[in-house]
Amino acid sequence: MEPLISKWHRELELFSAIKPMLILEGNVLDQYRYPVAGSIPEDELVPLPRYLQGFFADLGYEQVVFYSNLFGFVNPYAPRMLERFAQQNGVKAEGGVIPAEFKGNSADTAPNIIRRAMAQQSAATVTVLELASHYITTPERMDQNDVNSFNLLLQAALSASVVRTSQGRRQNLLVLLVNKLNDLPAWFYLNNPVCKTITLDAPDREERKRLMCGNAFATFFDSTVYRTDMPYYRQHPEELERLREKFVGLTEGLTFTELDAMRRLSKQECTPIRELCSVVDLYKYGIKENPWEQLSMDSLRTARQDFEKRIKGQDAALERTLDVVKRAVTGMNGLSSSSTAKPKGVLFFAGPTGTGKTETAKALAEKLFGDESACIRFDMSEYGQSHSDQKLMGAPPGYVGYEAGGQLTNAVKKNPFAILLFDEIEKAHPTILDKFLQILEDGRMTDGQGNTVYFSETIIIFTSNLGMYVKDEFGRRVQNVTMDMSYSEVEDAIRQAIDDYFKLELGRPEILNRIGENIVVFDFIRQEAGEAILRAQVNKIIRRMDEQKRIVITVTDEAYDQLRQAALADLSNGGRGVGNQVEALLINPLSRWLFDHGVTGNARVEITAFDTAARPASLTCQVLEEEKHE
Amino acid sequence: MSNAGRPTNPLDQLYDIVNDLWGASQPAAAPAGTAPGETGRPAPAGAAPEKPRGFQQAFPPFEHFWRTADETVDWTEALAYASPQDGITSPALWAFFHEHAEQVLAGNVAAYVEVLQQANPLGDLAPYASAFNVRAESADRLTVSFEGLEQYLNAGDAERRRYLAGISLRCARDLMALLPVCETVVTARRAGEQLLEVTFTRQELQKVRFSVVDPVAFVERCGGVFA
Repeated sequence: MEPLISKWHRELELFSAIKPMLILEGNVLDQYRYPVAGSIPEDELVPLPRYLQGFFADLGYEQVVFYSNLFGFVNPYAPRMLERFAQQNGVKAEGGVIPAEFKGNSADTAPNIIRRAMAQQSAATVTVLELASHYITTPERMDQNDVNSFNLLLQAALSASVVRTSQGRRQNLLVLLVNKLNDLPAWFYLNNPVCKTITLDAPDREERKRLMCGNAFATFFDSTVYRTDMPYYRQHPEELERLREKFVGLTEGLTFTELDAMRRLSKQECTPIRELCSVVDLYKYGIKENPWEQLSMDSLRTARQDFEKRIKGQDAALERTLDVVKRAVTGMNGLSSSSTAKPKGVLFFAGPTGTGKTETAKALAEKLFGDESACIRFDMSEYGQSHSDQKLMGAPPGYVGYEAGGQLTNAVKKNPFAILLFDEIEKAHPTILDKFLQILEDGRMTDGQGNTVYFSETIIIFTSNLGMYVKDEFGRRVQNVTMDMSYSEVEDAIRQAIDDYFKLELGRPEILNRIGENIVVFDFIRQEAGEAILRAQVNKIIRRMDEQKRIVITVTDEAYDQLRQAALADLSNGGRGVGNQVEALLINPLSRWLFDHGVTGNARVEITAFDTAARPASLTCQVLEEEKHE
Repeated sequence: MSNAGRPTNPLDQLYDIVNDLWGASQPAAAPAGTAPGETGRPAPAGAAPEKPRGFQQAFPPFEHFWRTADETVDWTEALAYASPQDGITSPALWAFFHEHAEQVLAGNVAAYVEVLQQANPLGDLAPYASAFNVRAESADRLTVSFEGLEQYLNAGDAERRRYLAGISLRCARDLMALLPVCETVVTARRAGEQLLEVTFTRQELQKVRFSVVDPVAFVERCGGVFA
């Protein structure tokens, strides 16, 4: 196999020859795969300090020492290097440590020792400052001692010597390992010609793939599992390749340490090779049975009919919604992108109010996860302030509400298999949309407490009334779509308005790009759908009265016609408007009548007429006969 | 004195009484019948406390048979890496595993035999049984037979069963820790006559909590029939 050398390894090789001070920032607490055989065997995963020890020793450096302000100078990998370093710089190594403070006035503080080591020419030396982020509290509040110590390090880099070694000339080096660059004082690295910053990222796709190649793949499995499963995959290498690819896609953004933990978890759980990817769920969510995998195709085949029972008159919208679900279930949602760690699906529901957008999300949750409560709703009008992102993702350390975490991150941590419904997204502050960008692209988010939450098992639904109204040339709010327009006209007008909102008004076309073609426009509730909603609501009331009160209600055809005409007279408020009319014209007058006539149960009541013009509305009923129920 | 986690039998009860009477004033004795191969092993979790010397020699409690076992050899790790990854295994032993890993993971029976010969996984049971004979029948299955020792076989029916079940369970654990087989068939004999035959599957063994298991009941659950 060709060696796979990471970008940062190449940068380190390149710049260690020309810059005496290197800052390695980012993923410094992780383990790394050593790419070429040398002091460390090829492809072995080692902690970063061990990696650097091997790397510099292979480059021909004669001394590598590690400093931390907790212990002093050490080298657990090559103790003799530390002894030589001590002798050379006139200090004492005791028990494998050269004790040295980071701050102070003595000649044996760490920066002074480093300055001497950098200036000498007898042995090519690398000094690695571990956990350099933690030597000072904050770069903004440094006292003079802090400043002096960093000044000495700067001086050390500026006066670094070049040393002859058996492998050519080498420059003495100072390497700082920091979590974030701004943990260091800006004057220390900005516009500093002797300093180079190298960023260490989480392993990319190729790196992760390498972890799954050759014999390293075997280490993901228990010995017996590997021995019994492997003969099949030797016969079917294409299946093994597919598994590997899927695993690599699912582990996007994870560190080497996390991948290694996953490897050990797989082994411990005796995971069969074919179920390798279930380890990702086990690691991320603590469960093996992914509800997505348990979905039966038969139940999805009847989804359309089930949805139509709850949502009336939205054929096109339901079709589009189910397409996204089918894509998620068949595992084709990651085909067009490099990462399958993205959410299972993203939908943007638009259209008039009361047309079934929220209801569709709830129906979807019930269908997919067997429970409406798996639809977690966020009213985005509550997130209209610029700092509202802290409510969603959690406040950073030191801020009010830090302990509570974020509402969104907490919800997904608790239930990673869910429908996330962001109602009225246009009312959220634009900075929150940036957070959504990351969720939609990477499928994960780190909350204020530093916990990473994964969205790869969720469906994200945004709802919006965008496009219902637009501003005319005088800045007045005018209706953009009306009930006399056909569905395709409504759809075109709303899509155009959404397009304009993201591209022109917000100036954020990238958000629209992430939603892609998943904008689902709901149609107005038209006469036919309105009648179906009315019929369903009246039937529901009749059924409940029978079940709860043993009152059997019938409505004569004439009376129902009166109710229908009044309830469906204005459909501009959608299904919710019909519901309001049913409450005003049927529920309220009926309860009044039952109360006034002392009918509390075990009765047959017929509604013969509605007076919808009266204020409040009333109805005429008769008790058909008394019935005694057990 | 607590008997938690230890199945009660008349000899153990007698031991408890003796220990209550003398245990505190007796000098600490080495565990009964410690095999040469066990020297330096950590004490088995939940092992019985030391017993008065004379009593121990008569009939040891045997818990350590099934409560302990050799460490599982991680062959996939040995396949991938030339040097020890666990920080515990000696480089020489790791080198041996590394050399044989590919063949073992390919289910090569000849490699199994070589590993068995070199590792001698049942050597530490020599003081408790004799004539161990291990065979690799296939890549999935090992068989082992042994002769029980008279002094333990004559100790009464319940104790005899406990002894045979304990040794059998330990044989299976040790062999499955060494090689990636799916099952081990253990046969116990007395002068060539079969006393017990039981098949332990890896799946079953993985579910067992050895600190609390009753070996006789477990062996019976695995289909073992005591003669």
